[in-house]
Amino acid sequence: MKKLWLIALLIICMACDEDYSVDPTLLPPVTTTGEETLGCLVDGWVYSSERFGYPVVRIYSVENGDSVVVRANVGREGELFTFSMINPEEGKTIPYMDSALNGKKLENGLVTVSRMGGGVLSGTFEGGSVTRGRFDVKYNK
Amino acid sequence: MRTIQRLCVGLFFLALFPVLLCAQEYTVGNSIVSLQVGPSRYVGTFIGITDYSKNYRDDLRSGWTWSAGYSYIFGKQEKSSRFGLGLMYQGTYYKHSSSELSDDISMQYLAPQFILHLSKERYNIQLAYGSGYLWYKDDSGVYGKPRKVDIDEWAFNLSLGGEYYLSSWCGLCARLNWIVSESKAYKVSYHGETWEVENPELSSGGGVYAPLSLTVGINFHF
Repeated sequence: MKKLWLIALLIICMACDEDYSVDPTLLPPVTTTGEETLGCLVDGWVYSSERFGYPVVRIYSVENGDSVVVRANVGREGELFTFSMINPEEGKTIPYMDSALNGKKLENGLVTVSRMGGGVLSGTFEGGSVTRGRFDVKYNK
Repeated sequence: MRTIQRLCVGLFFLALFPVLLCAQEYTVGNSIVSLQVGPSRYVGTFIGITDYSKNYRDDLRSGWTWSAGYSYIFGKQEKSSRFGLGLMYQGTYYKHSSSELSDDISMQYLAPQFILHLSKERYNIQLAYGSGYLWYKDDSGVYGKPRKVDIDEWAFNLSLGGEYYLSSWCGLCARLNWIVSESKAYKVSYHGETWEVENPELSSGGGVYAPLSLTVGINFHF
């Protein structure tokens, strides 16, 4: 129950950050400098976090290493895009899983990590209905 | 050979035609209806487009324009400088696309005109200022999906035109027209939703867009 409240609070706070100067119909550029962006096409439609606050990265210790979960608000109603990956390493292409848009499960795919270091995690991802995915976020281990 | 001779005779009479018309009085009436078409250049900042890269913007700057107008020039025709009032419509069109993004910008401008009409023999020069409304639309595409941008703003125009009278009722004309407008926000419709984008960061907080057009056409006098 406590977790649910925390998630709800997180969603509300992310919704508060709407930046009206950003056009949500355009994908953010592919960057590796910690720009705090996430965007992709789902069924060809653009979903981008830039207008709705910063993406959130959480790192959990699991049996086989670190599970990195990336979440971002991609809509004015608090729609969440999320995916996770295990042990991301710079320069490697690895599977991502648990991908969902606003609670609707999406297909798994592959993520290419272009930077992981200096508190910045960035890369590109694709899988099934998700295409041209890109993220460039800051994280604390 | 006979065909060439006929062609030469035809061209001779065609060249003579304006000279023969010189003998006539150059204009009748104080009203002018003007129809023109020509190339246009987008000057200023782009706002609401799909790709802000320099190459894409450069390719989007060339377009076409067409215009129609009515003006009434006060005073007697013998006077070399006269004042007039008019109404101008101008449509302008710019288009460019890359493999995944496209922009199809159309602008419609309608404004009353304040005209200074300077005439001498077979020529006249018109300086005009107007202020009216500019309807800006961008029927764009993003990764194959439709996206529409709308901006409606007040604008003003400055124009410099010249005319050579072919006869008492018509003349060849050319005009350089500069329309200037500014917007700090635009509306974008996409995937069933409409968004207001204020002080857009990609165009440094807004756009001063100014189609500069050179048109040629015909003026009808009555």
